[in-house]
Amino acid sequence: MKACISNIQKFSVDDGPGIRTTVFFKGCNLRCAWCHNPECISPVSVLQFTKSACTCCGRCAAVCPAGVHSIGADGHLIRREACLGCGACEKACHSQALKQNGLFYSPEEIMDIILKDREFYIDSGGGATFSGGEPMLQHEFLKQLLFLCRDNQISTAIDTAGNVPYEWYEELLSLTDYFLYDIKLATPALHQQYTGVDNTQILANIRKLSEAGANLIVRVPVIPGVNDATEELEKIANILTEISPQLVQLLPYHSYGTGKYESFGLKNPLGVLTPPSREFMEQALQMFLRNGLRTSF
Amino acid sequence: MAVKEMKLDDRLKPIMEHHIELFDRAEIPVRDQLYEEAFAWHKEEPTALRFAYGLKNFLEKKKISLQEYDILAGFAYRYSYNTTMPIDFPRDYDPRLRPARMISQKMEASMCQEYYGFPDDCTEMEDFHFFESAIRGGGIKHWESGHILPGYHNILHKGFGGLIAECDIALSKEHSDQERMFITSMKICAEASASYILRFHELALKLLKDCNNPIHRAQLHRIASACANIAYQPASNYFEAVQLLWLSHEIMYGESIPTSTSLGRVDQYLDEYYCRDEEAGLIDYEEGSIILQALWIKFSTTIHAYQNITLGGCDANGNYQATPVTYMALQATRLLRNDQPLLCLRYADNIPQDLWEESVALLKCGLGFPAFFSDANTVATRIRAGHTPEDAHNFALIGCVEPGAPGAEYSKTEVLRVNWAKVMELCLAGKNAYGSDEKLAPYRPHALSEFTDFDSFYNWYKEELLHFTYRAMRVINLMDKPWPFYYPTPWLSLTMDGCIANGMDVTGGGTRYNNSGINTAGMANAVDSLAAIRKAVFEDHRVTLQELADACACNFEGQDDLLHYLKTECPKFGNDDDRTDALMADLTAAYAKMTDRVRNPRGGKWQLGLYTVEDHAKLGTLTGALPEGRLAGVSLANAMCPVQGADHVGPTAVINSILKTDQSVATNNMVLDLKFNPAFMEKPAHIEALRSMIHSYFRRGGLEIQFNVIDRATLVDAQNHPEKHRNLVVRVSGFSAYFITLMKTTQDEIINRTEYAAI
Repeated sequence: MKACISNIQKFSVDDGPGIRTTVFFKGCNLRCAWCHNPECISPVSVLQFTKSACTCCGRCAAVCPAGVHSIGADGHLIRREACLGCGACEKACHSQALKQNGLFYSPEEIMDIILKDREFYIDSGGGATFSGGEPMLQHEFLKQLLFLCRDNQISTAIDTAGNVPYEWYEELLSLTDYFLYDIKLATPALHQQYTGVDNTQILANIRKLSEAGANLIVRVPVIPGVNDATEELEKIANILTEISPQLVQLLPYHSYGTGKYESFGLKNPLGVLTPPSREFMEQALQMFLRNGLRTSF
Repeated sequence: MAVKEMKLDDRLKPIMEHHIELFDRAEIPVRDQLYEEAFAWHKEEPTALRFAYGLKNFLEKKKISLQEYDILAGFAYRYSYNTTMPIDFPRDYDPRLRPARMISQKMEASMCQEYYGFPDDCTEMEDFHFFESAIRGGGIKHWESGHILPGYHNILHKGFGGLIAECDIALSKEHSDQERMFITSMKICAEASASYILRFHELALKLLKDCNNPIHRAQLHRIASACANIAYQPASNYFEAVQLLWLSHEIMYGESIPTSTSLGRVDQYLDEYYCRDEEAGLIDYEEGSIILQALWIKFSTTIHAYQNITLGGCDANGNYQATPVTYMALQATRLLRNDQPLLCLRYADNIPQDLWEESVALLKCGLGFPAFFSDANTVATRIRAGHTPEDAHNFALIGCVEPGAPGAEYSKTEVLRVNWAKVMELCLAGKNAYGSDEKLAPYRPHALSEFTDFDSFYNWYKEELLHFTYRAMRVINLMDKPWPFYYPTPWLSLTMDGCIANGMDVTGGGTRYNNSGINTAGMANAVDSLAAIRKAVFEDHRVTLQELADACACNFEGQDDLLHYLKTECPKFGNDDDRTDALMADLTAAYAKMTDRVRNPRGGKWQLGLYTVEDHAKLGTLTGALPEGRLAGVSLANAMCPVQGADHVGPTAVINSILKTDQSVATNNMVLDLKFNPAFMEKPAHIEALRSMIHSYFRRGGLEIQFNVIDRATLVDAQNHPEKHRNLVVRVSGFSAYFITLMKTTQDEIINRTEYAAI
């Protein structure tokens, strides 16, 4: 059994407690307008092309079996639809302008990588986090991985948007130490508009997880012009007070991922926004705290 | 949780404003002139006496500095040192400019020839030729002088008068003529120092005559009265202790080139004075801080000086020793933001929480201070280097990182550095192939075609490296015996435990510990090159060893594909990959096994350092292209850190890689430098992660770690050369970070966040 993985990132300090290794799964069933990991939306391997690094040397075109690359008067053009994901162009490129995003791993292979930082997990209360994309879309594979973590006494966290059948979570409850759960919008119409899906299942799932006693760390991305109106944030806070998560993390929008859209041949739905000011985040924090929620940003 | 908010006191403002302009270029040749004048009066005397008279003449006549607004008297001017060192610089040479070559091997060789009576064509002289070639060719770096922890605490406790009395007592005992001569040289230095301090007393009184500002009058009075007392007496209060410390340091720079003359455990030895004054109501924390800040400004006027101050640490019972001065020191640097003095923190898990927070507040300023040292692991290396447990627990750091016993050790910590990458070049090219005309060659030459497997090449390289090193160590050892008779340092000797009683200059083994330092450069370059050779030649069979060597010799011209393969498909140290990590571990262990066995003529061991100061850049300019894919002339790796940009898995992988090498052999210490961008340091969770990382690293044997919270210039460089900065830590929640794809506007945003407020 293999899964398509975008990246395995060591020294992750924002994806659960302590020092962690985060495994980014490919494939997502939301389409959040502000997504900073757009390469993880597709469940299969995608080619990343960084135009600013390209020298138009043509080595990629020479080795490509599918005619994806052409260098001409308009510079370096890419026909993504023809790409087989073989990675030959990445190997041939001397400027690190091409990268195949999405490699296949078995659970054991991922475990070997996770185990390398075991001493750091011990010393920091950290462990492994499974993120993406939506890792729950590969829940069978994830279950194998969680078993391996348990066998190796590695703490586990699942970073999820919550839009999958609850039964899938149920099977993993006893194997998962933390759920990092995204609550992006409260108003159903807005949720549909900005993520492409309804939030009924998402809210039902988090309630059930809370009732089942799961450790919930809720993440609320704060996106200017999308969910940063006071009313909307208050609605989110109200939902969360019923749930009593262990921690609420407000994640201010950042533009670090915007460069990725172009490099993966994707359109950035929102464009580049101005991150919320520190003052704004302080105010939002206070509001959440007033609702009795343990919150940070 | 909040640390003290620092504000520059008004009394310090004029000092800050004018401290640079006080530097007077006309002073540079004065020292050598006054030394030579004294030499002429004492032509027939032994060297140590002549040098002592030289210092005396210099201290009597040199320019001294005391401004009306000063809190502390004194100023460290810059000088040339041709009269007392085997160097040969122009008379008006400005120490701000670092020449390519410092020590004259010709003068060193002639010293040995004269002392031992060697003929021109003997093994020793051949070794000297090799030594000189190796230095000029970039295979070796050699430095004498500095890198010392003078016995400043001895001066504070005993006073120059007390030291004079010690000399007199020693002279009244049974001693050889030579011993008497050395003791007398120290006594002359002590007397000259006392008179020098009195000059400041007189100058303070003179300035008082025309001074109307009441604050300045009070400060000048304090200086006048302190200098009257501390000329001969021990320090009797905190202000006197700081003033005496500074003036002693200034005198030290009169005798010796200011390279890494370090101050030791300032927070421990100043504490007794501060606490006594504070309890008696004579001083408060604010005034104590201001005086220390005035001292810091004095340190900041000396460039390239690596003046190291050591803070904190545990006693033999494991109690962490933090004093009020420990906090003052961190706060002073956070306020003033100068690159001097260097701050080193002896770290243990039981460091007080508020001291940790002060350290973090300083880290965020982006100066790289404090550097963190594992208290327990460093104590262990001291014992391995021959220290008693008591001395081991009292260790301080010399700049950059070498551990030493303050006032009791002369271990020549920078006397030798061997470039592992240059030896690799010699093996592959059969000769020195880049950077100079120097004739260097492998000790046991082999045709590359002889090596039919990796192990045979690796074993050859290892032998060449050990032989090259041992040969250089022999030359250094040869110089130990004559040194006190040609280039003694009687003033320094005066301050060190044992020199007076033993009647021997510190350079000749007069004090308690007398090791020699053997340091490395180009470690990761050599290791990555070996790993590349194994893969390219013996696994993938992509090239023969000779073809690879030829490609290096022509700097990979016309070999783009091969270069690309070497850079991207061969493993690199620092990524938690056994293919390189095992090589680093094995090579370092074999190296240490050899260096551990060697002794020097002063009864000491050789201590191994895995750090490079700035030599990774300098030696890199003389090292040709290598199989790792490094081009000729490029900087070598820093210390035993990964080659710049070669680590791409993050700091945990770098630490794991380094820890696979047994660090307990690094008796002259090592450096691990990790870069973080300033935004990273803003979140408390990140700081906690850093602390866990430090703890984990030290628990598993690490010795030193420093955090380069990178400055604006480096970020701009990262923007323009992303391939050199793949190891930059930019972490945000749930984000898989590819620095190379950050948009320019995002990069600009990060860069603009690093504008630090400066005084």
